[in-house]
Amino acid sequence: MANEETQNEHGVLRYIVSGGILLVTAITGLLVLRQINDNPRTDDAEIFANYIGMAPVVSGPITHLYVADNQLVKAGDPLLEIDSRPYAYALAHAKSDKATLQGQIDDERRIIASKSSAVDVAKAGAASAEAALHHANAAIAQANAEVGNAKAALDRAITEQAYADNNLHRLEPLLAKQFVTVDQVDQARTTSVARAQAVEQARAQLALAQASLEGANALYLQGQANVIGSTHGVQQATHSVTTLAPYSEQLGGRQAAIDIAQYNLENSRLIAPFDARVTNLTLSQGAYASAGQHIFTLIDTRIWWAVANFRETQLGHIQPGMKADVYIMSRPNVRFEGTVDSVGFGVTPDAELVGKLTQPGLPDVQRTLNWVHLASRFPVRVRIDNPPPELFRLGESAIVILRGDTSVIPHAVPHH
Amino acid sequence: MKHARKISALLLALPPVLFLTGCSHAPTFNILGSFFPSWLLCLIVGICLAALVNWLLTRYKLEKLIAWPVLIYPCLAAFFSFLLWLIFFS
Repeated sequence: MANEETQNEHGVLRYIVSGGILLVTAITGLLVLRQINDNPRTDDAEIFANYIGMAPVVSGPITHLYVADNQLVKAGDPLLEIDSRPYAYALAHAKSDKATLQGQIDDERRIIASKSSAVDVAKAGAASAEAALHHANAAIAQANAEVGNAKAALDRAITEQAYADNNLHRLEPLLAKQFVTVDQVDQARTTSVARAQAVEQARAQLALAQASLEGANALYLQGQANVIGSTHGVQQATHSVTTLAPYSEQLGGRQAAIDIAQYNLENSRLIAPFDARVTNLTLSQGAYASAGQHIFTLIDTRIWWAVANFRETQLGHIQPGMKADVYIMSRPNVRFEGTVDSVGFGVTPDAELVGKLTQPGLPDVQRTLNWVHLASRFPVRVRIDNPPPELFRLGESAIVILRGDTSVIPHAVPHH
Repeated sequence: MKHARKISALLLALPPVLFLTGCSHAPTFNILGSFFPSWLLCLIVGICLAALVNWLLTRYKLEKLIAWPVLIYPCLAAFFSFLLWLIFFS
């Protein structure tokens, strides 16, 4: 009896218990689903920081290495020094080149000044030639006047000779009749001969004056030629004055050479560009560093990220600015706060779907296709807020749980 | 009744003990360098708890309470897993 009773009791109870178990399973299952939707999480995450390959700008053997591998450096700390002597020499050379040019410019300035003086001399010569020309002009006028004078003197002498001749011819017949004395005739003859000689003399004077006029004319022509010559001389002297441009234009180039040498010299000392960890430093001083070749790596320790890959279906719930919990596997008990910085906008496409991206040819599309496609995943950058500097390592495994702000999600509020 | 009290005491004692493991732990467990996800751990514990329930019910001759064991025991395991996960990792 009792056994049957319990059986009956159980008969009702067993359906209640079983149904209850089914119900709570469904409820907890739905709660779990909601949690996962609202707070997307992934353990496919890594700690990440930006890093740079440190390369010197100039080449040379490393003389000082101030850092060791894994050392923390502050921005501005010296990292290493490359033998700076060649660069100091190059700077000195560039400076001396500039000084040489400066000296050449000074010399050239003097030469130009001397050539300018030569122009002034030539101008003075030209002025003198001009004056000489004026003088010649005046001499011509004087000679002309003298010729006129001589002509007048000749005319007067001729007239006087004609008078003396006439007088002689008048007196000679009177001598026979004894109206005049012999002395008077002789006197008249002498006067006539003297007057003839005076004519000759006046003629010679005229010829002399004419010759001096021709001489003055010739002097004038010479003076004209001199003026033309000296004018050309002035022009030639003016043209021969050189300018400083060929030298002064080089000054900029020489200064640039100095600047480059200075830059190279300054860059023989490598400085940390930001707070960083030195990584992958495997050489010692004495090693030859080539310009542009990485010597070691600097990890930028100012900002640490957790790069978490989320399925594309979850991206709708992820916005920049969301808070996140970040765990790192080296300290699984410590929870770090983070903020979503950005969501990745590109991953390499699946070669089986879009085909290999061969550049010139045609898309290589597979004939086989999968029935079930897997969701693409995109990297989400979660910036760690206030990271302790010694805990984070690039490439560390991490777990990221995004804290969906439940007050924003509409269906979370009306439950209460 | 004595047995029932024992069961209830056990069930009541279980959550606080698990709470002691700490609230702020990464939802991943490191076993010799392999990281196991939290849900896997919850599932294993859930299956163990379901097995424990089965064992207890059998021991105290209460196994008839479960109407469709093939369905209910996996459901019970899933329920324990969900519950543990919600308590510790949500």
